[in-house]
Amino acid sequence: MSFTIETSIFGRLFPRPPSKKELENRRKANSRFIVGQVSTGSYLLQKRRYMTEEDIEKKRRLVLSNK
Amino acid sequence: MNYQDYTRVRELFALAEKRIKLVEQLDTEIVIPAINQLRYVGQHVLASLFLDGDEHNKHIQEAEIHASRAAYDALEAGTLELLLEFKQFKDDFRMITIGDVIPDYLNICETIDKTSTILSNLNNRHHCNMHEELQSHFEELLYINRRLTIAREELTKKLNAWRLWVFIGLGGIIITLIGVLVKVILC
Repeated sequence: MSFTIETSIFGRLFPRPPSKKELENRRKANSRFIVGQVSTGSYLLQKRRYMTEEDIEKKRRLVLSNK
Repeated sequence: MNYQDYTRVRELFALAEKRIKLVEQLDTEIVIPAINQLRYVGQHVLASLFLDGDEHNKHIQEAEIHASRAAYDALEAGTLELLLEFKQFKDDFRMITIGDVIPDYLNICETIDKTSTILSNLNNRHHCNMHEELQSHFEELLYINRRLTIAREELTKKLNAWRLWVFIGLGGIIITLIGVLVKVILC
């Protein structure tokens, strides 16, 4: 656990540029995340009562925050 | 049956299809929710063909709503993807000056901020004027995204050089400290 935290802090201080494979994997993860985020996805989640309207709005704000 | 009833559905369907094709250039998976909405359009249009009166009109209205939603969903998914990619780009190269490689980087940041604000304020999905504005921003972001992808190579070299100098600097400090420590111990 402590090792993970150390490497993560090291990674934050001395960032390494992502490789092509990492970029590809990141893109795939983004796609899955976006599909869950767009209105239809949120609508379905809401319909199934997995998420409240506030949770959806919170997630939207998280994606949209560009700071 | 009056074919005029389907004019609006046809227009919205064409708009959704156009946007889906545009967003598909970026990623084929993120348009799945929009395509799903178009499936419902087909379902309602088919149902309306075999019904009359209020039931017929109700299905046409439903088809219009789903087509409108498909057009919006495609655009929203594409824009969110680009915003997310920009956020990650900014994070990847946070330690170096991006403006040296991309001279108009501040303008890009401004465009991103504007788009983000539009998307956040877009509560009403049927507000067509805002959709048009968002679409023009999306097209601009698509172009920016291509430029940032090209710039990645140069920025990667710059970041690697920065890392090398930092490690050399840290190594120098550590060697100096050890030297001072050894001197103190020997004295």
